[in-house]
Amino acid sequence: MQPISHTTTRSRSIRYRLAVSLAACGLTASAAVITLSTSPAVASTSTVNVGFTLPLSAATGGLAVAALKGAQLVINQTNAAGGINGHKINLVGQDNSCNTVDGVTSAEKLLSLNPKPIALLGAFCSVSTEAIEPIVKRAQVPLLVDTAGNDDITTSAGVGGNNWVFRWGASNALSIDAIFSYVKAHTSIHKIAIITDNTAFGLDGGNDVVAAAKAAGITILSNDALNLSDTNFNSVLARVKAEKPDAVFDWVVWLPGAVNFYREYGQDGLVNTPLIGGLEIDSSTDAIFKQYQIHGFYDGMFTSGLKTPGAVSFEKAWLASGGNAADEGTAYDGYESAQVLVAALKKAKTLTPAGVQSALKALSYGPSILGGTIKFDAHNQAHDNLTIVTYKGTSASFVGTTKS
Amino acid sequence: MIFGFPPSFWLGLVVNGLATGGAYALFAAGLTIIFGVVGILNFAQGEFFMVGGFVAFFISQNLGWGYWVSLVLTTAVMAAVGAGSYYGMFRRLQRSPRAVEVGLVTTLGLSILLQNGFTILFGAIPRSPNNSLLNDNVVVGGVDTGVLMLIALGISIVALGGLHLFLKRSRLGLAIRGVPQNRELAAIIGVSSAKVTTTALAVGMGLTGLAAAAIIPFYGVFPTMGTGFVFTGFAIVVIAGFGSIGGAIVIALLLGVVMSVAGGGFSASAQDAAPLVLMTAALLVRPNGLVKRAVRAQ
Repeated sequence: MQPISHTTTRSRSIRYRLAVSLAACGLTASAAVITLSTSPAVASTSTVNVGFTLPLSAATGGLAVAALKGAQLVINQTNAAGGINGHKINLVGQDNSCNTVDGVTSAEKLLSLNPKPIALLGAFCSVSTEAIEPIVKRAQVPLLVDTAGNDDITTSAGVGGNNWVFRWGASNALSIDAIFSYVKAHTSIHKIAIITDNTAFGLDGGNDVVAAAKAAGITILSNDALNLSDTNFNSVLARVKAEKPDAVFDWVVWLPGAVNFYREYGQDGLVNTPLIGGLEIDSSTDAIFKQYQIHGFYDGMFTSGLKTPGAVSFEKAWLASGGNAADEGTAYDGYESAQVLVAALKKAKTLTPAGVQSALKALSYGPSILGGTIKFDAHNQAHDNLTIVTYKGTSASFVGTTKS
Repeated sequence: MIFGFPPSFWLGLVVNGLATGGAYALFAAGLTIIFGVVGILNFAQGEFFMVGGFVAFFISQNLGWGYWVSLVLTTAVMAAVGAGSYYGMFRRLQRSPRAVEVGLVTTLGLSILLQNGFTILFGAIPRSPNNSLLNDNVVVGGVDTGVLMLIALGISIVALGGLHLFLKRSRLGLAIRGVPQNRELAAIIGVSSAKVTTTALAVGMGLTGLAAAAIIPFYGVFPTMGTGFVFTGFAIVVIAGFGSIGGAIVIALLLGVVMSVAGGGFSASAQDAAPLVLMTAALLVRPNGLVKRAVRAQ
């Protein structure tokens, strides 16, 4: 098994851990516009603005900053190559604190830039993304969604809905379906216990897990939605242990409680039961996984074990830009967002929001970093590959990719 | 088998509930002592609990003085914080003509300030002090329980016993019990309001700090760790009756068991709903609290 740092394997996890910013949004929600490029907020006529709304504040700020840097990397490369038909791109980041109020404010601030942005990227968190959707529809500016997972983002977009929202990342349903495809094909798991959290993300994913498990003919022994502001999960875990599941399917948002949940999972003697699903394995939980040798598998997007041409190119560019390996997962999200957008800009007949929207609709971008093709369906949802990673403790092994 | 599980499973839930209930009892006793004497609902109590957790972590981990020393020193530090909070905050709040409302808003603001301030300073990730007993379990009567959980329960029992003696046997303890019942009369007979209030805050915060120090080896310390505790703590105080110290302790232990059994026997949602359901039911049946009268009659 090739040792792979978990800190670089979970780009998808980043989208959820941002809920932690809720805890700190009260005082830290910043109204500041962060412009990484040297261009002024009011750009010259040969420059087009692109906004990026993401949770830059609070505890997860560093992760979001890495994503913004990842996107900036693509923008810099594009500008250095002459821009788009001679137009330079000015990327403007704006904090959304991973909540609805700041999400709306961030979108409105970005849309008030002069010149008006031709597209927005973001917004990492589902709650912010869903809050921004009606705003971009009103403003008629395309929003290219990255890692926000809620299924509603897909179902409300495209045909019969909001034609200005596109998502290249996988929805919860697509991610969960991919895991069950692996379960069916490669494991002898027949009965599971489901543990989610009681956030919108967790409950949305929990419904998808139930549906996917039933479709796969897998018995659901129990289904618990944890309140991750609690500290004591021993009772629930004692029951799960007594139920003797073949695996525990975990779909929890990154919150401080998730760390306690994993610790108690180890302490309560469930270590022999594979923990699968949407794990939050990162630097905050590495020690727990290592101490208790918790094992299982999960799916995700970028992982350092992935050696597609796009992944190699991304890692090389990221590290050359001074980025560190620990931030690769988050940086990938921003990098790929910007790659997809730039691909659309190159195809756009006009560098206007409407022109970008048309280009995104017709886009067929590939190979992506995950080796697939990003092409939006009728609901403006792309179906790129996902990676499957098995792990034990802090050793992880890239298994391969699966179609989402 | 009971509902598909062996009796040892249910007994395990009860032991887990008592251990958590013990921490709730310390927390709720502190909350109700402060409310009873100061007359202000301290919405920042959860954050003082969190501060106690960070103090305990610093003592046991950063200073390397270990679990037992951290219990004693954290209690002392938080007692000092409590006493200081009288002069720094509560005395001024008490003087306000709208002390209840101003106190509520001020302590709520303080809780936001502390929670976010600690998040900025230390990050949101839980950290646990090293403890060699963390993964040790004992099996008694078929019930498999963590050693540290039993220790935490024992600490709660000893501390609550000490609190009982203090309140029953000492003059200050009697004053703390008496002031909430009739402030004017207490003042007339020469009970110093400042001294009693300072002592109540010191005792209340000290108990809160002790609760945090007792449990952080297995629950970790993080800026939002007080959120769940404060809601459950308020539910306990409401169910017991505001100002009822003994009632709060009894209800805390019972609620700990009910929550544990609800979570283990039914679902995580049932565990979360238990305090609120019981609080609503208690308010409907006995708006003044289930055990307040009985305790006062002692």
